[in-house]
Amino acid sequence: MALLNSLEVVKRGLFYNQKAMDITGNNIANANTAGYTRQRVVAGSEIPNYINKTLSVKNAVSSGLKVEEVQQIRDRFLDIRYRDEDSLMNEYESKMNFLSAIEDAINEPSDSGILNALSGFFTAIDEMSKSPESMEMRVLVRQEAIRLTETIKGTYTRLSQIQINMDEETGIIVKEINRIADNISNMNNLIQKLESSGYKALDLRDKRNLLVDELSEYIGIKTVEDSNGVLSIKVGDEYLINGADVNHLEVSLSKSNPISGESMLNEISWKDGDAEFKATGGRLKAVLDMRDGEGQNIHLGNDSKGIPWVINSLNNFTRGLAQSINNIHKEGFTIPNDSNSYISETGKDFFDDGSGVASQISAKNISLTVEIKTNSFNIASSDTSVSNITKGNGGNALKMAEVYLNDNIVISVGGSNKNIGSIGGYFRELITENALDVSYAKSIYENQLIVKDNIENLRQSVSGVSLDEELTNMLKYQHAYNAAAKMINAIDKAFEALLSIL
Amino acid sequence: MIANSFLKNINKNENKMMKLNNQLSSGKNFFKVSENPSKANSVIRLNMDIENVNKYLNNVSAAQDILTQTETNLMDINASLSRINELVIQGSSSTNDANDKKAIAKEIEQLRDHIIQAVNSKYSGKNLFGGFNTATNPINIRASMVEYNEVQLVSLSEEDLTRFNSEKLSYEVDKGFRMEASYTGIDILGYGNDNLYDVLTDCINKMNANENPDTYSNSIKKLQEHQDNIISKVSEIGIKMNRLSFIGNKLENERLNKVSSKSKLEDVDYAKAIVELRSHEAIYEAALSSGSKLFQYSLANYLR
Repeated sequence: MALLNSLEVVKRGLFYNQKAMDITGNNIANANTAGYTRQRVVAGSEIPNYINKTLSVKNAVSSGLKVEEVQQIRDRFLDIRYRDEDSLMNEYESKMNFLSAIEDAINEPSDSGILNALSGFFTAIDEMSKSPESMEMRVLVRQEAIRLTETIKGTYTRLSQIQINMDEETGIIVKEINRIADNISNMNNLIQKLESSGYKALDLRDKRNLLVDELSEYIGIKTVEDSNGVLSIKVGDEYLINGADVNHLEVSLSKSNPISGESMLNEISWKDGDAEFKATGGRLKAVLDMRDGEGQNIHLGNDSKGIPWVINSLNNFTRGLAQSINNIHKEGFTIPNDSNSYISETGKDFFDDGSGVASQISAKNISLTVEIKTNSFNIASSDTSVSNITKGNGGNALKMAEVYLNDNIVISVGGSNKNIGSIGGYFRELITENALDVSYAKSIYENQLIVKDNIENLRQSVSGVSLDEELTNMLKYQHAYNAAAKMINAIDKAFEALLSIL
Repeated sequence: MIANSFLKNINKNENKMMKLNNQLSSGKNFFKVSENPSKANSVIRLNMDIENVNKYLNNVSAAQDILTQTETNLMDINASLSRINELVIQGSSSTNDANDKKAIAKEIEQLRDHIIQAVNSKYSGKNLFGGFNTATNPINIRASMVEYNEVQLVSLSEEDLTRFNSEKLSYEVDKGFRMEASYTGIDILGYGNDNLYDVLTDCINKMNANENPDTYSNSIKKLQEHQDNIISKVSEIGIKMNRLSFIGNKLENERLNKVSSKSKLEDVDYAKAIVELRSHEAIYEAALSSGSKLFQYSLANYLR
């Protein structure tokens, strides 16, 4: 009986080592699988067989070992930290990309940017003030003015397009979040089912972890795992996933655009419940911040200099330019050269909104008045009524040219006055503030990347598969297996010896 | 894990080398404002300043051109006046008979027309002494009355004079400093009854009428006053030219300073960039070769 028992004990050793080799093989096979967590066989010794009366309890030998469980080597604390840092990194990576896109749209310093067109315009006016009677000089002013207005409008269009793209991206991100949430809840169901029937759903957990990592790129989350292995996820104070239930996010085209005159934007809300949706981090927060940021509450830390801020500044710049040039241009007199009337006219605007209204000028619509577009002699360069012998009067053109260096430009916005300093200076400030934002976002992103990489490395060193280690384990288990096999051989010999006596 | 951090480091190195390469091939330290906001801001500022200095420099040379042209014309008028002076003195002597005086009158008439022509002269399509009048000749003789921009010189009022003086071309040659660079026809001919045209016409009439020599002394005195006026204008131009070339030199220096400080900000220090590139190349190579060695070996190689 004892020999047979020994055989049984050794068999268990064989089984254990075989299982361990299986797991090692699995680890090696998954060495490059994303999200795979290293597994380990935990052995426990079997309780001795006390019913066997041939041996006294005193001499009891444990009856081999058994596979207690297969474990994942994972540090939950590292997972949480990884997700927090990953959210932040993705938020600033997105912000950096959007701010860079804004910087590219502004396109400074370059020969095709607004500053270049602005100085071209004022240089042309200055030249015209010296020879106001010259058709060529006037046409040059008109061309430079058209180049300036087109550059401003082009910049506006590019910025507005970036906002439209961002809005599309919010829709895509929300869809992604819903998809991942659905997947995680499916995983929850499966894991719960499998584990309640005694299995260890290790690979499903790996997959679920990978999904949670992915989710943390899009939005900042908090996770809670209950005793049944069900993972609940919170965004802010609201549950995105509560057990098997998913509270989806909804997108509706109902948010009014902070940029007046532009189309509605996506409003994100919870499908169930009345709670307001708040983006807590990740790419979604970056997109929303950049899409809606008017830069009004920077000091409160909950606002950014996003597209609306840039466009608002661009509008102020445009109004500063148009209003100050118009005010002076109105005082001046044109050269009578129109085939319809031979009168030197005054009180005319230089810029309008493309439909003859000067009070509604913005970066979206700034144009030259129809009169100036059709006849360059309608530029009021003279400060007195022009007769045949005073065509050389460029006094008003000179006043217009001086606007460039005037550092007390006052614009009226919505009935109140605002001093924006000099026109060029105001625009330069806009460029610099945007550039500082880019470099700030970039430095945070780079720091976060290092932090995230470090945590990722830590996580890898805990959970990742090291081939050398696995191979060492393989040798270990192989030798143990061989030894057990030899043991069977020895017992076999003992049996043989015993049986041959008979 | 090793592979991951190896890749990351290689990428970092590649990025740095790319940036250095860009700098070397373009000669510029940065391409976007965000790469170095404070320096880029100064560069944009300096660009505006340099533009401004260039504008002043343009104005200086435009003013110099006009003044040079004006000086040439004034010297011409001065030469004509000297000749007229001689002729009048010659005519006033009793040795000349009526015919001689007629011939002298003829020559004075021609010199007078020449002076008027000089006052009507154009510079790059514009009247040199015409103020805002760019369309017609500033000096016209209508019904033997001389007019400047359609106002008779004889009956020119103080108001007209202020208006015409305000029409002179002036150039901004430095911040807040404008310099008048042109003269009006009135500056040259004078106004009222003693304007140059009428004084000359008076001489011609006297010569033709063969009047007594002692009647010329008043004309000679007036002619002398006109000549003094022209000469004082010429010396005024000389002073202005000196001033302009002084300002021009100052502006050139200013521009040079600004261009060089701009270049300090945005231009690549080649020596530094090349040394940096070389060191990064070395690091890159070392990383590649250590990587290739690292990945050759595995425990699997030694298991049989």
